[in-house]
Amino acid sequence: MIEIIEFSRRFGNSLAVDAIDLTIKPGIVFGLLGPNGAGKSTIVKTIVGALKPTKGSILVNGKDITEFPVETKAMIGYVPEVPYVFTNLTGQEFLTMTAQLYHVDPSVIAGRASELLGKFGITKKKDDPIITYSKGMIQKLVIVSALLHNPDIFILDEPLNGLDANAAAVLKETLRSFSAMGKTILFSSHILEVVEKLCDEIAIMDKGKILSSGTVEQILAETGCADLEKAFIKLTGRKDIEREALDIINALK
Amino acid sequence: MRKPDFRQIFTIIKFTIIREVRSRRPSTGKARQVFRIISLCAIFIMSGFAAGLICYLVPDNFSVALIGSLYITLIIASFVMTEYSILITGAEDFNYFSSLPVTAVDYFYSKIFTLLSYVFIIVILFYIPFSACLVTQSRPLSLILSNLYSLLVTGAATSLLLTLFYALILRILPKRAVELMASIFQLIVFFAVYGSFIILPRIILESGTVLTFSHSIFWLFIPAAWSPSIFRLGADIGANIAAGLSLISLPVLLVLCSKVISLEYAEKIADLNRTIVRKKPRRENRSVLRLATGEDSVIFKLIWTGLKYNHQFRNGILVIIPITVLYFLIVMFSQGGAILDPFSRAGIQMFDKTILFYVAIGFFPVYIKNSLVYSTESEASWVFYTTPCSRLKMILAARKFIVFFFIVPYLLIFVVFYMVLTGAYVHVLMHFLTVLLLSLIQTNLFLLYFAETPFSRKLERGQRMGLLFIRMLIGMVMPLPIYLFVIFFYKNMTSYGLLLAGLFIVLAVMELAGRKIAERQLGREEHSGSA
Repeated sequence: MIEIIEFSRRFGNSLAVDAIDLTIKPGIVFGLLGPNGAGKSTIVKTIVGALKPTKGSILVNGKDITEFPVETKAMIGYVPEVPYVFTNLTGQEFLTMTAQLYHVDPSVIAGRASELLGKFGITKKKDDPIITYSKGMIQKLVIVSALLHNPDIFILDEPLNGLDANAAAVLKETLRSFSAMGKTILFSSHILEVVEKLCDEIAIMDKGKILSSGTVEQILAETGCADLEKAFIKLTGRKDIEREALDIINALK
Repeated sequence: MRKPDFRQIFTIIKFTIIREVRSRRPSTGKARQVFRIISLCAIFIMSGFAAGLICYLVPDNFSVALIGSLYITLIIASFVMTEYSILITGAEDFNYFSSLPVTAVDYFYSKIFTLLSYVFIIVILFYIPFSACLVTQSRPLSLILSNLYSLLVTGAATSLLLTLFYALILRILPKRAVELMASIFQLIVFFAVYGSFIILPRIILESGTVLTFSHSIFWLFIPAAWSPSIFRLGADIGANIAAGLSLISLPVLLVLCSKVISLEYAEKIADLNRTIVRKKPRRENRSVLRLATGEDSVIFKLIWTGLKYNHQFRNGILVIIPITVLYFLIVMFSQGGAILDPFSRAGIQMFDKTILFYVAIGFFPVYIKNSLVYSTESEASWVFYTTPCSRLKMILAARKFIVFFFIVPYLLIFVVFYMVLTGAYVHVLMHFLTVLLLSLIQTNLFLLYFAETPFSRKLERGQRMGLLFIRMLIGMVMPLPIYLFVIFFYKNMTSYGLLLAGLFIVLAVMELAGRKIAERQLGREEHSGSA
């Protein structure tokens, strides 16, 4: 379980996340939705320890991420929004390195990595330097690296970027299986369709604040909208999308 | 050739300047940016002072101008070399401009304007303290004013010459050979920079003046002496030709550069900046890598692959070796007679003659630490922040690398060297125990008290030059304690024993406190990339 309590994060004068409270329960896939710059990635990066909270606290399975950074990180598998990797290493070397950093038993690393690479269809590339990988292959590699230590909590920031349809299906199925096993899954995205289909609960945020959260049905009831797209547009303050599109065309005339 | 489109040139220049000024990440903050600019300016100002102070030792106007010219050549050369990717053509330029209707002519003008603007600012920063020193020496006003011309011409010509050099090797040689050539050339410039700031004053101090060669034709072969030759106009034919060469060098270089600077050139520079692609996967069989586990293994692996496949990283680390050899050779050939038993009366008196040995040891921790922290792959360091690894252990792994691959081998060579030359085996071992302890203290100081996660920082614009000079200054200050130890504690065994005990205690206390301080500093660190 992830508990976010009165969490704020500032970058200089800009407030990226403004005193939010959120609880992500185990056994469900939780979707974090919001337009670009809403603060989703800031929340995710803070949970995984890449950023520090300016105010408030975040608990991972009851442990504060600031007080127990090592313990909480050990429970999390993280797929970042931009999957930068050390391009001089081979895929296998990168996986071994990450597994070592998670203190995975060395005797199981190779076998587990090989199995997971096979599931994502990149076994043949494992001994090639990562610099020769395509964007999608790097994304798959990073997903595998996040799974290697069999985490209790899985956090994914726009994980479908660059993935082909087969790999995306494998990932979605994996997430469903994880949630059935009682693991906690946080899925951050701005793609409504995916979130709507995959997530059991959703939080919609904009300008650093949570605007609404709950199941899709609860959000639709709260906003009085027929579908999630309309609810999203209503909550994030875009009144007339057709009008905005027309304005763009007119501006070019 | 198409006519230049001044509107487009103006736009490129404008946004280049904006990019330069704003080249900081959201998490690094304005204060750091301001500090970086101030420290860079301070380097040029200090260099101007250094050159100005040396001028106290030379009598004639030509020598004064030559000293200024030599220094500005080295400064501009090192600046262009360390920042060439942004000064001459940005590696990212091709990605951006290639899809836009920018002509080679417009691109050339905008780049040359940026380059020469940098040169102008650097020369002015250098000139102010340099000319202030000349004023205090009651030099004629005409000399002081003419020096500005001399420095500007030399600076501009140096920057254009380097640009041309890069462009030509990119045209002529295949990529692999270019990397090799660029590496060698970079080493030579680093060599010259590190060497000159120490060696030039020493030569002048020891020989009074070496700058008044009797054969003026000699100066024709030193481009840095061309523009100072205006102070010897009419003296002989060599001086006249040299002064003339300085006048025509700029337009000639500009014309030549206009032939080679284009977007195609930017593409090649961008390509050169990319990491080398391994051709064949290789099976790793390094025993050191196999023995290491956990964080040690990760750091050693990244260093090893970096040394093999990333030429920027390799240059950053390995440049220390020729510098060390240079200092070694200088002491051996110029001060060979001063290598004596450091515990003997004569050895203590002559110790300052061997101080360059210890400058090299001072370089190791600061130089290698910076090369490990500032990485072209810093964005990938998110894994160090999001996994439950110990970043302190990574720093300790980096320390092992510095100690076992640089400090200990270097000291072993010197133990053998000293033993052969002095025959005082016990004293040599005692002396090198002192040096080892001191270098461990210095290594702890840089790694634990200024703790930064390895491979975690991106080099920002203008930072390479700053780091180069900071490393140089620190490296030069580092031998001071060993000099004081020899003078004050090597007189008898009791004082030596006290020194040794003191060093052990300091090392132990530093180790304990340093780990805590490092933990605290690392705990405050955030990943600065976008991953």
